[in-house]
Amino acid sequence: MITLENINKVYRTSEIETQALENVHIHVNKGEFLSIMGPSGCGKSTLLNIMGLLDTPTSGELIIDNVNITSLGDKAAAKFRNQNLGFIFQSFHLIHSLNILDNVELPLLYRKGLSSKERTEKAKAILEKVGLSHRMHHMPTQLSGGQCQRVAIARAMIGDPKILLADEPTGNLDSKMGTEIMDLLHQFNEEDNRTVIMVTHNELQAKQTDRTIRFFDGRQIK
Amino acid sequence: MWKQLLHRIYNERKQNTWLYVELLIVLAIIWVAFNDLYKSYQLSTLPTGTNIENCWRLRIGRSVSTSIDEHPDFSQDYAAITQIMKNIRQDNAVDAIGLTVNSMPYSSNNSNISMYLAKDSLNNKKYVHGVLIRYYNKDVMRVFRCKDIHGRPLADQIPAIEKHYIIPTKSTALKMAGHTNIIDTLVTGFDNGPMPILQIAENIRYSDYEEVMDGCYEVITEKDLSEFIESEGATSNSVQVCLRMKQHMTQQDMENWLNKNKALISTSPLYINSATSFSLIKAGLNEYFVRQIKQRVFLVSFLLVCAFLGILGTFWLRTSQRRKEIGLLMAIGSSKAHIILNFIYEGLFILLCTLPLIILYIGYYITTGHLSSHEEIVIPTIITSVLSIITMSLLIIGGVLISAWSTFKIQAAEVLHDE
Repeated sequence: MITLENINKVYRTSEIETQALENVHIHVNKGEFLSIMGPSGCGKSTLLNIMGLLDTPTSGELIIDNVNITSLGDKAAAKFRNQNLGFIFQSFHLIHSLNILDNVELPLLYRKGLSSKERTEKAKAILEKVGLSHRMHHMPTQLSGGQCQRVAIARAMIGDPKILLADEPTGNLDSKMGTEIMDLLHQFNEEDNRTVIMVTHNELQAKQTDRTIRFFDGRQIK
Repeated sequence: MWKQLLHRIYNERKQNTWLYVELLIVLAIIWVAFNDLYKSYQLSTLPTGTNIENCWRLRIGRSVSTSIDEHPDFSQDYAAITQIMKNIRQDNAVDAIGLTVNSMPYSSNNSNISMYLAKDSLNNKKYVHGVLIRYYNKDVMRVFRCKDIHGRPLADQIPAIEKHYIIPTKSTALKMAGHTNIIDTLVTGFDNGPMPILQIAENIRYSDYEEVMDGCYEVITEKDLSEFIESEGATSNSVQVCLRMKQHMTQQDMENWLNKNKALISTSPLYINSATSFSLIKAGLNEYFVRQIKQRVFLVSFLLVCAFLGILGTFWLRTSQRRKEIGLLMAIGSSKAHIILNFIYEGLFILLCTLPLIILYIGYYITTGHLSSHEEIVIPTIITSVLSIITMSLLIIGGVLISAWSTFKIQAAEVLHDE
């Protein structure tokens, strides 16, 4: 499903050069729930961003579904992200000037051939699935952290992505909310056989996934 | 997409109201500046009531010098200048020639008077003050092709028997009587006593950059001219010999023509000294206004730069505050172009919201305008409003593009990462 070959990422400033990733080789199978662990600054989020086409590697190749997507242009990369990838962030990143329904609908705005009514129906259905249909007309500021993350998951899933990339999705939540979110991620992973890649600091949550890879100082250690 | 855009604008209404007010103020300032410039341009294209094409002012010299102590003798001047004009008129290249006193167009020494209809009762007098007066006879009217309100040459309407007449312009007639049906009515306010109105002339303007001013022609007689010239002398700056040639001539052409006709342009004690084209005289008078317009253009350019910096700052701040949103939109599949377009649409939509106020203002401005015709106020107001909105749109687009450009230099991953 996803193959990273000899990925290197170097951040350069005029004074300092930082090797964020060094010779990373990873293969993720379709339907696999993979967790990435490591201390802060070890490069795990950089890796996730490269897999999500939000960042570009300094060298190496990224192959998703047998397509080398390292050299995709801005427009093609945007289209690829929209159709194949779903993102979940630690801080949810909901747009505060839009209500929950509008936030969830956002990814579908960049899909051609969907009417406004179809978009709204899909958003309502996915909000129902994450248990927030009664909150669809509320603003993000009126929701708890756990509810915001569920909205973010609904937004990530509305476009039926093959791959879900989660960057510390429970990092800002208490353990109860964290468990609820993990249950949702497992549900999406198991029900539709989607690939889930999650960066986490939580050993317990990592153990619930199919496989864990660990990073230290930009290198994969296990 | 539009639904989300409108929801977002509505949900951020507090912030957007300030932006709306800012755009409205900048738009108003730009409109005032554009309207002022456009009015100057429009004025420069309107007729001035005087045709100076191929027209020249001939300056007169004296061939017999008099000493300072000696009392000058001007008794022969009128006969001499009349003879010179008669000679010149016979040349095939000449269209018309005439003599006037302190009344040539584009001259700063035209006089002003106050006048009113003599028949008006004492309590009902409608004085028109500051009326520009030009003392023309048939010949001068022919030179400058003065016309009545129906476009007919005034020179053809002056009776052969010499008598004093007044020819007020349309604006003067309207101010005096409220209409133009006042031919043969007596007008008071002149040294020569009440004079009958011969015809109504088309409006006149003092220069290319001034609005229509109240004016009138006083038809002068040969006696008036001879008395003035024999008293002041033909070489006085007040005496203005005006010439219209049949074809365009350069300064060099005119000098060659004067040299060629030396015998014709000289009758003792006078001769034609030099010639100055009226286009040059006009340019001299317009110079002040052109300089003023250049200053205004500079000010408007400065204003536009300030407005641009203001709009740029506003949109820069707005875009910077939304860096995370930009990162998120990119993550969920939006391209950079799409994000920029969305921001531009937002700005333009808020600008569009100023339209109802603009339409209300235009309506008010048009209905209370002081200009005389709709062509002079409605069309310019619409043109300058459209130009102002286009300029504002360009400023917004530029502001969004520049601020978005700087934001896109940062990778989406950087703005979305929380560590």
